[in-house]
Amino acid sequence: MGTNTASPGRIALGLTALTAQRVIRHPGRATRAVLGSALVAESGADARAFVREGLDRILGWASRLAAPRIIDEMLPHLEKRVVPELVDAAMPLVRARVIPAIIEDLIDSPLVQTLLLEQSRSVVSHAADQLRDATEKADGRVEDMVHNLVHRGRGR
Amino acid sequence: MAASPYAGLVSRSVALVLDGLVVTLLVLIVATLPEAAWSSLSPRTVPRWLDGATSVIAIAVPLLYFAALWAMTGQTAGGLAAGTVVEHRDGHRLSFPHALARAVIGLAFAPLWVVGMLFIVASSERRAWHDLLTHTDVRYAARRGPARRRG
Repeated sequence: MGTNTASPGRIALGLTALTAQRVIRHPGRATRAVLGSALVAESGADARAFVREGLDRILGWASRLAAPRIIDEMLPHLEKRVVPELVDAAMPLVRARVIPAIIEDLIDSPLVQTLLLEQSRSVVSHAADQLRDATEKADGRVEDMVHNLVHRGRGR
Repeated sequence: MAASPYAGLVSRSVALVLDGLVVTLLVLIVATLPEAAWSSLSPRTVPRWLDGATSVIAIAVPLLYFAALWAMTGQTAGGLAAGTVVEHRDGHRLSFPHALARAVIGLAFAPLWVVGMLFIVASSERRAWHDLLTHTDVRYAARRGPARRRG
């Protein structure tokens, strides 16, 4: 006894045959269907072009005229109200978390430590140099003064 | 007057004053800190041995301060600030016994040391009495960086 199986190939062939039969039976309907689908495709492309063109116009208008006006009108409001409120709201957080973290990073940073050390050394070295200059000059002046006194004493 | 590599009266006096301050501070710390620590840790009075030991150390601190620094670097803290260095007359660093002898003479006869320093202005090599006695010179320390005119 033979089996009655329907493979996908057979189903496709069957459907194609059925469609061909319908086209043959009703040629007017088939023509209208083809024409209709072409019309729908053409109308869709026109609609997309129309929408795109409209959006471009709106965006152009917005960037040329609307956006600058909006920004100009918003800026004072932003400066007077929004930004101060944001700053006031953010400052406690910044003080509590951000600044200590930055200070810790700075304290731990070898580069900053080196810079501070160099700066301190430079200040101490500069002060020592000034002291040495002053005392060296004073050495010479004191001796000159004593020698002058001695010479005057001998002259008399 | 011609420039001299020997340190003059003012430089050496400044160094001496600064060293005096440093030594006074060190002696105060050594003399008071152990007794203060004992008093805070123990309810009993400070024992005599601690009192005696701190006195001995307080006397030794100035001697060790000057002797050790002169022998090691030729410069005390005051000398470092004023830019003076103590050397043997032949230009070498002082040995520790030599530096100790200079320190003992200076501290034992401090008034004479000060008076003897006045002799610096009369000496062509800016030597004080104790320099003549201990065969030492006090010169300006070499500086880092570009050389500057002295005098």
